[in-house]
Amino acid sequence: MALIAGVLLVTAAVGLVESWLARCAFRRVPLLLTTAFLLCVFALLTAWNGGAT
Amino acid sequence: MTTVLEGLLRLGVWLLAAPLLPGLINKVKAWMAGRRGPPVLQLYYDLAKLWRKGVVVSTLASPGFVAGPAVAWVAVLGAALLLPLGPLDALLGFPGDVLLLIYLLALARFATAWAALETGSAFEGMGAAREVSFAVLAEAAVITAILTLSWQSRSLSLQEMLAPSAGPGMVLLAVGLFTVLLAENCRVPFDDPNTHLELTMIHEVMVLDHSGPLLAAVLHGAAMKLLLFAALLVQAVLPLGDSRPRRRRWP
Repeated sequence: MALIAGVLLVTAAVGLVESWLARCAFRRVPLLLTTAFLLCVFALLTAWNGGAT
Repeated sequence: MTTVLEGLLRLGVWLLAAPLLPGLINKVKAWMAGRRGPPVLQLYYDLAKLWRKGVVVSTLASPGFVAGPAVAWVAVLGAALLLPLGPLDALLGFPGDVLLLIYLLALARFATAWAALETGSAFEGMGAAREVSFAVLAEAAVITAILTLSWQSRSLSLQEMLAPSAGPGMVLLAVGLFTVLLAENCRVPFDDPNTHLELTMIHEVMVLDHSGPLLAAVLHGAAMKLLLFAALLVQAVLPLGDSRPRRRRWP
């Protein structure tokens, strides 16, 4: 049940984010993916240092 | 016998529940815009309609045009079956299955781009080029996220990696994976599944020439991929999953 609730939550979040971002004009969309990559790198560094365990 | 039934049940969950997600997203978007929007089950109706239709194949198209969507659909389903669902173990899980998951998702993307290039149209080729350009960045983020989970669990098995743990790293990972989810599933702002403007099309332009059951396979595969990424995100970072024992295998 928790997984189903979580998936529905993520689905609703996608809809909300899409509605919000559709009103903005993004000219450098690939930068968002670069930011996502950097966030994952920082998460890896945090895990490496034992911050998230 | 019970194992076979459980396997069929999990297969049914992936096949039948996936088309619900795009409908829910469209409903939320319609609600935000103050519209009524299409029914939540709209994709089910579309898939049933497409399945009954014939396939139009260009004289320039090679067999890859037909094989591409089929290969992509099987690859996404295979990747989905590697993922555990909450307390249920993965149907095809094994140590190191996360590496196969990454490669199956890459195979699905390759097959879709391959089918797009096989149409002989420069328009589809443009979409395929855009898709793989975005994939360079998205896959780097996915692999880094997998590395993070793998390092935390000291394992390369999805069954053990997807045990949520709170912390600042998980917040970063959640935002990063959510952004990747939007990009990998062709959602706004990376792509717009409802668009018909040349400059904003990525995934849609690749499948523009597909019709009938081939288009149904593409749409259903995209829905399964969305469910896969949502389940992966939830089980990896949100404190909603079960508390599977985490065995530390690495020093």
